[in-house]
Amino acid sequence: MSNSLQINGTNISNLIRYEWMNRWKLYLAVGLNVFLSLIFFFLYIFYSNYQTTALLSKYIISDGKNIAWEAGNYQGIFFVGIFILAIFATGQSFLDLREKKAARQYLLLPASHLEKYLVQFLGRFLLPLMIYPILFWLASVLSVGIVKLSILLLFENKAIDFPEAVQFFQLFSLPSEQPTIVYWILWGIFLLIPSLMFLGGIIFGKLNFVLMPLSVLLFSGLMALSFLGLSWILQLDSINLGEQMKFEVLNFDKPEIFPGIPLLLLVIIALFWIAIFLSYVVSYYRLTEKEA
Amino acid sequence: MISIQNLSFSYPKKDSLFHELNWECSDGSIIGLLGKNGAGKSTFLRLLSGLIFPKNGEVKVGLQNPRDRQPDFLKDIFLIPDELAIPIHLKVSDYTKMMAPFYPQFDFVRFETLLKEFEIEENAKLGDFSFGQQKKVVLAFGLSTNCKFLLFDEPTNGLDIPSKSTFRKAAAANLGDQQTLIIATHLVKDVENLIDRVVILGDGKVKLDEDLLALSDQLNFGYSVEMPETAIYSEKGGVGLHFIQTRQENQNQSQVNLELLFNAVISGAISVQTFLNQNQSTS
Repeated sequence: MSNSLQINGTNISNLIRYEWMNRWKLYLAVGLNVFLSLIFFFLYIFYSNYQTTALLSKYIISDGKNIAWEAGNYQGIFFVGIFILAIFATGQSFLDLREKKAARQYLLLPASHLEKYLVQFLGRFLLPLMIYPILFWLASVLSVGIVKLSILLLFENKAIDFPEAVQFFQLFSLPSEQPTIVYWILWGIFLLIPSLMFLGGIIFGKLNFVLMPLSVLLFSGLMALSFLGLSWILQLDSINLGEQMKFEVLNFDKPEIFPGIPLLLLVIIALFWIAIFLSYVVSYYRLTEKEA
Repeated sequence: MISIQNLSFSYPKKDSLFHELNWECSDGSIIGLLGKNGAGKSTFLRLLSGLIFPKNGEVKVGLQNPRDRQPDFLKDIFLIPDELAIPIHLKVSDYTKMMAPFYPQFDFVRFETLLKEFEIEENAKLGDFSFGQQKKVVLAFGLSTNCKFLLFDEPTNGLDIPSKSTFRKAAAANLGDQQTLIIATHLVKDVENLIDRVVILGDGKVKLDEDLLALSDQLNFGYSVEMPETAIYSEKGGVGLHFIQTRQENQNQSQVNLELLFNAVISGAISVQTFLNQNQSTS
């Protein structure tokens, strides 16, 4: 095995120590900020719900139980949070390479490219994805506790449904009984965004949080436009509404490659997963070719 | 051993910095790498360390190609750049805790001794230090790594006068027989009594590469009111002239005046060819 592909435990622990001693304040600040922001956000929602419910029950005939936060409502916020985290945390990969002076020190640290790469992957990809669900769950439980306590102790109207806390594994439950292809798309999106942001950290540097999302939008737009163009040329359909009115519509669902599965969907899934794989390959080679 | 064969290098959208440059050096030397501003001294060190890659040619440091940045190679090389990247929020002791484990041969006792010699407090924060003090920490660290190849870019830049002297003594005292130290500097006087070999870069080539012993054997550096007839280069200095002449057999060896030698080489009065010719004629 090539020496530059070696993985040595001592080198990895040296690199983790280097990363931690350089940036422990950043890690703690981000963790604390995420946690407090989530609590603030949940409390805002819960108290808004309470106020609305209280208002409804005061002026309109209501049992006060029509606006309640349920455990199932968390998941949307959870996934939005993951995308935000991907942009602002995973997108901060290879911070040492952003400035020449620091890059010179980092590139000369005695460890292989693969070891440096793995430590970045660990700190910017795996760590946020492992810590965030825990912080999210803790914040939800704590917020529900605060709201319950405050309503019982401080507020007049107690005849409302309290918000529900979420169970930890409920956060990850995917919609059930969907075709397999839906899960491929969902997991594809879930992994693609952080993977691209991780890659962007070494390509775009500090402007990654703007340039990578912009690149993704641009690429998606071009893809959609090219598909629309091709679809229009090949499979144009018309809807006739009387003799004078005729609408031309584009077929997103044709041609079908398997029964009920359009080619577009298959192409998108293939592109998602290729992009996920390539983003790691490209970022590794980018590291090996980095000069400072 | 360091070996460079037909090295060509240029920065994007700039003229070629090195063209077909060849150079070799065996282990265990202290080399002064001199050159005018922009001659490529720092670039040369960065090429040797693998921070930048040659456009053409081959660079070998030890048995390794620096471009690969293999861990074994990186454990054997320590570069102190002119501009330091130092974690200012850390104490000196924490900096050591963070960096020393990367270098298996790191000598903690030597590091402490050198810090004392440089009058640096181990418990002080790096951010509270001046540039010169930060440089002393990194110099002490570099000299304690026991790396086989030490590349120091302008090491005395920012050091006060006593510290320059301390650095010279520390470098001379703490280098092993197999260690090679390359000092790129424009402060020629600072390394005059330290180096045992001088390399002068200019016009994309090595203009001179010679041991100081050989230089003092072949050249005579002197000062007189009038220019000697045999002088190959002279410069005004005070009321007289500093000069270089070919040393005669009956003349005592003189100390190499690096600044004068540098100016002579850059002006073209002395070249590698001169020495090659001399060597051929003596052999």
